[in-house]
Amino acid sequence: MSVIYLALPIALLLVGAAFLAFRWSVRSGQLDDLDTPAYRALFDDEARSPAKKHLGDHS
Amino acid sequence: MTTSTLLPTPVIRTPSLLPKKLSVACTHCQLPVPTGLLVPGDAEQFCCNGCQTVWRLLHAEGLDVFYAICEQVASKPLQARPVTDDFTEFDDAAFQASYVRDRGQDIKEVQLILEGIHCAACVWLIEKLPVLRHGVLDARVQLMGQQVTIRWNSEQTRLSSVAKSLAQLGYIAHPATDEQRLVVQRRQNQHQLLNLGVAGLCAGNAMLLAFALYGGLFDGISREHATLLRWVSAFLGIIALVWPGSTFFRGAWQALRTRTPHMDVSLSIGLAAGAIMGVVNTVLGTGEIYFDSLCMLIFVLLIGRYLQYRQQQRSAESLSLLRSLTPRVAQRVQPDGQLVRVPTSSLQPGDEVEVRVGDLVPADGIILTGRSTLDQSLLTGESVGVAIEPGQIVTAGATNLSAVLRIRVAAIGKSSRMGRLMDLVESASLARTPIIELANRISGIFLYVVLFLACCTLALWWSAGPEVAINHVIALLIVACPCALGLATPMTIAIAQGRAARQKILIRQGDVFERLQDQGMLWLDKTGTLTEGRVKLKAWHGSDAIMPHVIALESGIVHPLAQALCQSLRDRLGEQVDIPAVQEQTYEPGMGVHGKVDQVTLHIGTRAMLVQHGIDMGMEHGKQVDEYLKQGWTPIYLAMQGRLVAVAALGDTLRPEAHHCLELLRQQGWQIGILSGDHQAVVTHIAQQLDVPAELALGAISPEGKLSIVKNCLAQGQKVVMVGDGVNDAAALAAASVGVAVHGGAEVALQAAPVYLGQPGLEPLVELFEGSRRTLRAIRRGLIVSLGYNLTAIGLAVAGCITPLVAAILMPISSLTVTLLAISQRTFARKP
Repeated sequence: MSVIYLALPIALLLVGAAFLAFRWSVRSGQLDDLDTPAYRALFDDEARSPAKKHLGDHS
Repeated sequence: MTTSTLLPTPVIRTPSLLPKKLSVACTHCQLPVPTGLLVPGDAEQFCCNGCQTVWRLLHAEGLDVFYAICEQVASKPLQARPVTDDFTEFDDAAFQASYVRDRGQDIKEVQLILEGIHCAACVWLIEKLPVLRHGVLDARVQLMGQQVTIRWNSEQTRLSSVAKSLAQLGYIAHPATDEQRLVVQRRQNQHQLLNLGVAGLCAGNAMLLAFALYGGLFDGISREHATLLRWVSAFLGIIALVWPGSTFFRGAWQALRTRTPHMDVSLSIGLAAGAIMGVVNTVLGTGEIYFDSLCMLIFVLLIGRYLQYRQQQRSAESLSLLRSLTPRVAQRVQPDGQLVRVPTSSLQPGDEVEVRVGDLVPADGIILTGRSTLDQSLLTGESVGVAIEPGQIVTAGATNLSAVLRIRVAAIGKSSRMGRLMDLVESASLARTPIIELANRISGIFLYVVLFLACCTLALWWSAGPEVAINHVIALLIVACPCALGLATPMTIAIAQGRAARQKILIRQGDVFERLQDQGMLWLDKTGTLTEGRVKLKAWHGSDAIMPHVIALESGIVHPLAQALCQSLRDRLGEQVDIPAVQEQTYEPGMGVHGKVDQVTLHIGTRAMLVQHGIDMGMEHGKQVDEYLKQGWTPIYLAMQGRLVAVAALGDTLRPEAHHCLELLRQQGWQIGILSGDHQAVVTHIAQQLDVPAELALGAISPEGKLSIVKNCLAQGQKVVMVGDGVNDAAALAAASVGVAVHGGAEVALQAAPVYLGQPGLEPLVELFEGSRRTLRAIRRGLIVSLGYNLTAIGLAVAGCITPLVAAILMPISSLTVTLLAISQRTFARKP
C-alpha cells in the first residue's frame, strides 16, 4: 500500500484543523479590526515614563 | 473641572509685547501662533491654552513621541479645543445601564465613538490613556469605525473624567448608540472572512493535488492514485462551490430575477459548468477535471468581493453620529423654580428649560424670557448670529451666544426640526439611485458573446462526436469565466481610494468614480467652500484713534462679529497698543454694545441702535455704507461722544484659489452654481466675483430647499455634485449623485456625503475630479486587459486547445497582470 493512502488523510485532517483554528480566531473577534493593528505594531512601549506620576481624579 | 486641573503646574499665558515677526508654528498643532502669545526664548510655542495644555499633559508623562509619530505619518495633531462639556451624564445611572458593561470587580467597559480619530498617531495617543488617566485599565482603538473600547476601574475614576481627558486631547466622545448595527456589521465581516478562509483552504489544497495530477500527466501515474487524487479534488471543489461559492449563485439568481446585468451570472455559468463536468468525469474516472481552477477562481473573486465590502463598510460609518448634534443634557426648570440637569431624551413638550451662554439649545421651543443672539449656522448656514427675543421660536442645535434664555419646549427628538432634518438625510441617502457599474454592464454583453460562441463551438465540433463537442463547450465556459474582470475593478478602486486617502480625500463609496465621469451641475455651498468662513474686518472708514477703545469695549462680548472686529483690530494695531480700561458696558443682543471707556462714551453696533440712542449720524459715511452693503459686507457703526466717527465693514474672505479652480472645473464641463443659506446679497456678490450666473446664485435657502433643488436637478436627468460642509447641507449631500463634504465642517454631519475633503480650499476638489477621471481610465484599462485574456482563452477553447493545465496557467497569470496593472496605474498621485 502506497504511503499516499496515509499521507492524504493526514493532510486533510491538518486542513480541517487549520480551518477550525481559523474559525476560532474569526469568531473570537481577533480579525474584526484589520486596520489598527497594522499601526499598533509601529509603536514601542519604551516611551512610557518610569515615574508613576498618575494624575489624580479631581473631578 | 477646568483644563488646568489635569496639569501639574497650570500656567496662564499672558500676551507679551513683541514686535511682529515671521509666524511661528504651534508646537502642538502646527498652526501659526498669534503674535500676542509668543514667548521670547521658549523652544515651545503655542497658539492657544488648549494646545499648551495637551502638550504639557503629554510632556509630563513622557509621551512626546506622539509628535515624532505625527511627523512619520505626515499628519497634524488635532487642534485642541476648549472643553466646556463636563460629560456628567456619562456617570448617570441610566446612561451606565444602557452603554456600560460590568466586567466584575469594579471593572467596567464601554464603547465610545470618537470624533477626530484619523491616523496612527491618534491611535497611539488614545491607547496611552491609561498613562494619562489613573484608573483606566486599557483603551483599544478601532480605526475603521472610529471607536474605542475603554476598560476602567470604577473605584478609581469615573467615566465622565475619562471622556473629559479624551476631549482635552481633542477627541470628543459619544456613546456608541447603534449597538445593533455594530453587531450586524461585525457578524457580516466575520462571515465574509470565514468564506474567504474556506475558499483559500480549498484552493491551496486543490492546487497541491493538481500539481500531483499534472506531474502524472508527464511522468505517468498509477490509475488508482490518480482516482484517489481526483476524488479528493472533487471533494474540496464541491466544498468550495457550495460554501463560499454559493455567494455567486445567489447573486446570479438575484440578477436574473431583477433582470439587471451582473457579473455573477457569467461567473455562475462557468462555475456550474466546471462543477458538473468535474463531478461527472470523477465518477466516470475519465476526462478532465477543473477543480483546481474552480477553487482558485472562487478564492480570487472572493478577495475582490471582500475589498469591495470593506469599502462599503466605510461608507456606512455611523450615520447615527448625526443625532449627537443636539446636547445630551438639558437644564430643566422644576415647578419650584429649581434647576435640574436631565438627559435631553427625558424632556417632554411643555417643560421649561434654561439655556446658558455657549450652550446648545436642547429642543425646539418658544422663548419665555431672555434676549440673546443665536448661532444657527448649523441649521441655516447663515454665518451671522440672529437676534431673538421672547415669543420667538428657537430650534434645537442652535448655540446660544450672549444671554441666558428660558425656553418652553415644543418638540423634541424626532419631531424637532433637527430630527426631521436627520430623517431627510437618511431617506435621501437611501433613495439614491444605484448605478450599474461598468464591469457589470460589460459582463452582461460578455455573457451573450460567450453563449453565442458556445453554440458555435458545439456546431463546429459536432462532427467529431457529441462527447468531444460538449467537452470543448464546457472548457470554453470555464475559461470564459471573467475572473480577472471580477478582480480588476474592485482592485483598482480600492487602490485609488487608498491613494486618495493619503492626500486627505476620503472616498467612501467605490461608485463615486463612475458617478463623477460625465458633466452636470456642480452646486457649491458658500461658507467654508468658496470663502474662508471666517469674518474679518474688510474696511474701515473714519477715525483710527478710537480703535483701542473699540477693542476694549468689544473684547468682553461673546458674539462672532464682536470677536472678529476685536481680532482684526488687534492684528492691525499690533500688540504695543495700550488697551484702555472699560468703565461701563451695556450689551444689547442683536443691536450692539455701548459703554464708557477711558471716560469716553462709545456706541458700537447697528444703525438701529445708534438711532435709538439719539446719535448724530452725520452725512459723510452714508456713501461708504452703501458701498459696503453692495459688497455683501456687514457695516458696523461706531460713535464716540454721541457722534458717528467711523464705519467698519466686516465680511467673509473669498479663497484666493477659488477663481482659478472654478475655471478648471468649468473647462471640464461642469456648470457651477452656488447654493447657500446665507443672505442673498452676500451670495450675489460672491457669484459676481466668480462669474457665476445670477440665476444659479441662490441665497437664503433652507436645508429642505437645498434638498429640493438638488432633487429637481436630478429629476431633470442631470448629474448633480453637491459640495457643502454644514448640517444644513447634509440632506442635499446625501441626495446628490455625489455629495462632497469639505474640511472644517461639522464633522458629524459629513457622514452623509460619500466624499470628504480633508484639506481646506478648492484644490482638493479639482484633484478629486481629475483623480477620478484617471481612476476610471485605469478601470477601463484593467477591463480591457482582463477581457483580452478571456478572449484569448475562448479562442483557444473554440480551437479545442484548452486543457485543464492551460486553464490553470492562464487564470493566475491574468489575475496577476490585472493586480499589477491596478497597482502601477497613476490615479491619485501627488503632483510634482
